[in-house]
Amino acid sequence: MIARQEATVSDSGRLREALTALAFIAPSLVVFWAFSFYPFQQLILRGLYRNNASGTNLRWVGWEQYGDVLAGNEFRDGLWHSMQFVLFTVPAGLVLGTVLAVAANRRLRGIKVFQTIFSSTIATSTAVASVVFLVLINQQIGVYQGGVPGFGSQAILENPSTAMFGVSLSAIWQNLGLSFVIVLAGLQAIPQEVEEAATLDGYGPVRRFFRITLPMISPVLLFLVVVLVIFALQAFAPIELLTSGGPARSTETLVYKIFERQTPDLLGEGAVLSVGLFGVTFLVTLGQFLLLERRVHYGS
Amino acid sequence: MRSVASVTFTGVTKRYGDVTAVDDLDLDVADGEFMVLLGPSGCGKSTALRMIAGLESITEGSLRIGDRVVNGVIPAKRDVSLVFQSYALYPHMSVAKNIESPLLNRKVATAERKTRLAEAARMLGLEPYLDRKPGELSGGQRQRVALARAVVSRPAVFLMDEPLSNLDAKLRTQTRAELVDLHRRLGTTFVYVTHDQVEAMTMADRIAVMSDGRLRQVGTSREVYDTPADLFVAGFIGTPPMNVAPDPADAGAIVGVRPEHLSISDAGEYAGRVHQTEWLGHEAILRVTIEGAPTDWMVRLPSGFEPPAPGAPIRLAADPARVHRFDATTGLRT
Repeated sequence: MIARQEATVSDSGRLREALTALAFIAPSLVVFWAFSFYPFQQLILRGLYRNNASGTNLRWVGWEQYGDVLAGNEFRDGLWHSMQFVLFTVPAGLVLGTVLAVAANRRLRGIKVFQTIFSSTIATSTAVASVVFLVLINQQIGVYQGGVPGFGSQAILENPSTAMFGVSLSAIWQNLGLSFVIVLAGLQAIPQEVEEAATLDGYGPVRRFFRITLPMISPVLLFLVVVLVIFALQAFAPIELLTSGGPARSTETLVYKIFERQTPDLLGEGAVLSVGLFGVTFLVTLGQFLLLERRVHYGS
Repeated sequence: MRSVASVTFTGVTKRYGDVTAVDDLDLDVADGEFMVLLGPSGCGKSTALRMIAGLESITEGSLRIGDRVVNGVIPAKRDVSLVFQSYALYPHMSVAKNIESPLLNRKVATAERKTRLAEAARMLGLEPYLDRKPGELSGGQRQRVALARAVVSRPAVFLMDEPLSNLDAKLRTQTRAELVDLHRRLGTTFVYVTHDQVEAMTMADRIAVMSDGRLRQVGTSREVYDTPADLFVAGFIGTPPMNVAPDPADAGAIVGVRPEHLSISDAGEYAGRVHQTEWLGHEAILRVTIEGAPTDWMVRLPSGFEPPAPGAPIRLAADPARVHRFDATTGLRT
């Protein structure tokens, strides 16, 4: 009898606990649903319809449009350009950010000045970064008006073979502040005693960097790779401002192609491309975690 | 063959800007000696140790390890090992790699390296854990990995910076005994930094007591306890510390008496009132307010003794052979 009473009390207690928990979760659940889940669901559904030139007269076509678009040339080209952008921006951002952070991670008088300068591009808008590079490498007004050596004399942004590289320069520069700050934070989290132990154990500067420092900041670097890849896959503004997708559509990334399909007649196609981009981003990020996780040390 | 070396500070000073961390230190650590640098935090003991390791530069004076002046020698070439308070293990390496790391950088042949790793692991009971990462070990085990990493390179001098302070009380007592055994087995010079006088008294061949960057006294545990060189050492060594008061007979002198050398006696020369009694089981500590003394005097009594009630007037007698005298201005023993 007593045992049953206790059980009842504890059950109602658990229910109250669950309701309290739900009340705490509710605000973020509502926000998530309204701004993420519901729009995404609508996006997927929109891809199941074709429509006429004015965006009306929706016709259910099932997964047919998904098959057409995702197997088509546009998606393939866009994906290839997006990947080029990733390949140009991510490794460069990672290496340059690490080099700057290692250089600035010293206890020297005035080092804060350099740390501020190196991190300043965080506070720069993409528009400003793009204009800076427009002034630097534009064909008519640029400080440097030539091309990339080995790729002809056309200006960087005018040559279909080098335009993506030119756009990437702007993105690398703009992301540098973020990479720098994140890597610097990782470096400063390494206990000084570990560095000293390495010195006593006879690690020279180079070996110490590759054997001790780099493994100890690997979680930070993994985070940075994931963030930079996602940034690169989502980049739009520098492309629009520097090349508008040209020349010869050589800088039309997936995002840019989605942007071009905002006209009412192409909304369904745009929706499918968006879902495709989501899938690519998801798979790439998952892959990074699975591949790199094994080489990352989350030590205590 | 093990290399053994003395460590000699000659007029060593370390300044950071206007702050003098170590002031004109002269100290001679003999071959194979277990020397403890003891003092409160900020007294310069860790700085002195880090100068031996080469992690701090020397502002003035000379430091020798064996016959060699090492002022300008890089840490890795000094033939010393340092065990840090935080152990400073490499979190991404296995225990085996951590222990081997000083050898990997010194081009020791693989067979020799494996032998030494096995030897160090056996000595410190780490054989079952060689494949684990430091994060998977307990505090005591990590501490032993740090010791093994120090042992494996067979240094001439072992340096330890408060290596026991992150362990719980029981493990600390046990590890203290293990360190003494380790010292005996290796026969190497140990320089050990601590603020804990119990660690110092139980392990040291000699203790160097420091305060405010200066060396106050060097001697065996018995010497620093029985004949403290000045008022600082008298107050720092011993729990409870030595009782002090101005000498009623001599205005320029201060007398000091240890709590166990006082007894209650109607003929006693020190008059006061009982303030509190603390019963500790094996003994009782009587706090007595003495006229003229800056703080309460502590009297150590056998636990069977019936303590007088608080507020009662009392007279204390000191064992005349055990009364210490210090100069009131310099604080030095007279």
